[in-house]
Amino acid sequence: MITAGVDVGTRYVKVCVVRDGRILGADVRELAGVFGDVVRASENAALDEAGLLGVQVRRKAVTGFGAAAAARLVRRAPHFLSREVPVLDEGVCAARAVTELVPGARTVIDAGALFVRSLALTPDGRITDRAVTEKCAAGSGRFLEMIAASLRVPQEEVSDVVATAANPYRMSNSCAVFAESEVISRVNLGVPGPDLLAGILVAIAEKALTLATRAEAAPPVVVVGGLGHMPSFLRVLGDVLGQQVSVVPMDPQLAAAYGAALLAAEPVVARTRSRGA
Amino acid sequence: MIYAGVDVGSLTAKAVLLRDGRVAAWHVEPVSATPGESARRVLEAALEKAQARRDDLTRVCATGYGRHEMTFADLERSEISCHGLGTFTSNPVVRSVIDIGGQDCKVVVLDDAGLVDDFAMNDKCAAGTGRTLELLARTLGVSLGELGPRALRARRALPVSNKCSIFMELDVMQWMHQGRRAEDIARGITASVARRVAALAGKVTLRPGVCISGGVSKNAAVVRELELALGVRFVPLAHDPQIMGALGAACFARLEHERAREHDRRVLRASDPVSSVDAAATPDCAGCTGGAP
Repeated sequence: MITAGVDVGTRYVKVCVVRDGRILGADVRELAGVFGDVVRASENAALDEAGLLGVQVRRKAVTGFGAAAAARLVRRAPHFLSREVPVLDEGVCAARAVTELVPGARTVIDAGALFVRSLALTPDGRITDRAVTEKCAAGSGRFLEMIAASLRVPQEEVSDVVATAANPYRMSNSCAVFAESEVISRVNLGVPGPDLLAGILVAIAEKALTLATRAEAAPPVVVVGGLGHMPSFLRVLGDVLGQQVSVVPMDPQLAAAYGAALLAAEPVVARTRSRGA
Repeated sequence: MIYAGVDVGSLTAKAVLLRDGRVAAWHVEPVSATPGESARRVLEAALEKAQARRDDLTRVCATGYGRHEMTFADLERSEISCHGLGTFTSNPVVRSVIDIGGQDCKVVVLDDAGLVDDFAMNDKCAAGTGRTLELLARTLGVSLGELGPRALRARRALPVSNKCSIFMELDVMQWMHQGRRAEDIARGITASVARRVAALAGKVTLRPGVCISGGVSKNAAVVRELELALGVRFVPLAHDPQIMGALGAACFARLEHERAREHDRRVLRASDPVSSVDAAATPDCAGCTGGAP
């Protein structure tokens, strides 16, 4: 059966088209401009990559921060025969992707744009505990993005730049907005950019550690979400957690969309609505 | 006699000159170069306005974030103390001060002499400070000065999170995606900032005679929301709310000078044989039967 998972995050829309656990087509695009247009364009791009028509997708599921709004659009997509589009919890989707690709994983750390989430799994993949940032964007990908932008370092170069850091700089502000001003004043005082970025990665990793401890993380630890793209983040996170961490063997940013597509194919779909958590 | 107060914050430097208990001159300018240099410049500018010279200054008190770098100052006081005494001087009925600046938010409760009795402060999280208003005005595509007037024209307040500036930005973006009116979003933003400040004020017991100061006090929508949330009407201040810290510092310079003069007078009296005899003899005179030499 061909299914699609749509993950509408706070910064990006991710779509995954899947048949029997295999990804046929996928798309990641920035959520800028008209919401509906971006979601539709992303869906079409993933279908094109799979070489499929909308009518061939039997079931769909949506997840992510903007899932509720996206569900209405996805349901009304042309040639989509089933009018049912469940809204799934992001944590459940991320865990499903991990259990499919890394059987036996016990902890999932989902480091996305705005929310950082830690999930504890049983050996057979059920979620037993979870913790998520809900009050503050300190330690989120958006935090890193803001600081990288104020240092004029493109996202894709952050990891390499951090690798050259000699002394990670410890921010005195944990608030992302204040840290941005602190970074500017530190740059003026001559603190090297790589040290500042490395300091931010340490702060994010420490946030993940706090969450993982709260959710009683056990090894092996698997990372999903956009920050999984950064080898430097994985290294810092491994140091902070004191154990080896691996990234899910696929584009980590697509993991929740992939999990949603897998769950859409399963007969009983948990219909949890969530906002953030 | 002229007393000077200099307040160097994170964004602006302020100087106030106090002559005969009145504000003789004041000056505000953006912080440039080092805090010490900014302080010197703003003080010179205020002196020029008052047509006075550096030698005319009796005492100078420094406050604010850059106060440790003002080597020329005679004394230093914390921003909290200076804000308290400054607003109290500007309007003697003030007993509680809510100061919302660019980087922090303070709630100060005063005693009947204008000195600090209790306070609460947030300088850890940008939500509930001017920085958030600046960030969200930019997101909404209006100038900071326009945000308040726009919010006042709203038909309703769209809910906006008050937990974190970044979350607030996200809510604002979602409302914008849905094509909601900028006025209603602006109202949601100002209400959210006011809720956050009201929560901080809830940590202390406010005394009647509440005033608002700091840059955000210029945003009429935040001020109105906050009055509603706290159930008070803010008392007015006689001077620009931005100079309260510097005014308080100048008052501390005067207090310090008067205290020192009083001390000198006592020392002088103790070392002067005639007045010390007088001082020592006077109380005893009550029971004197007239046998004095």
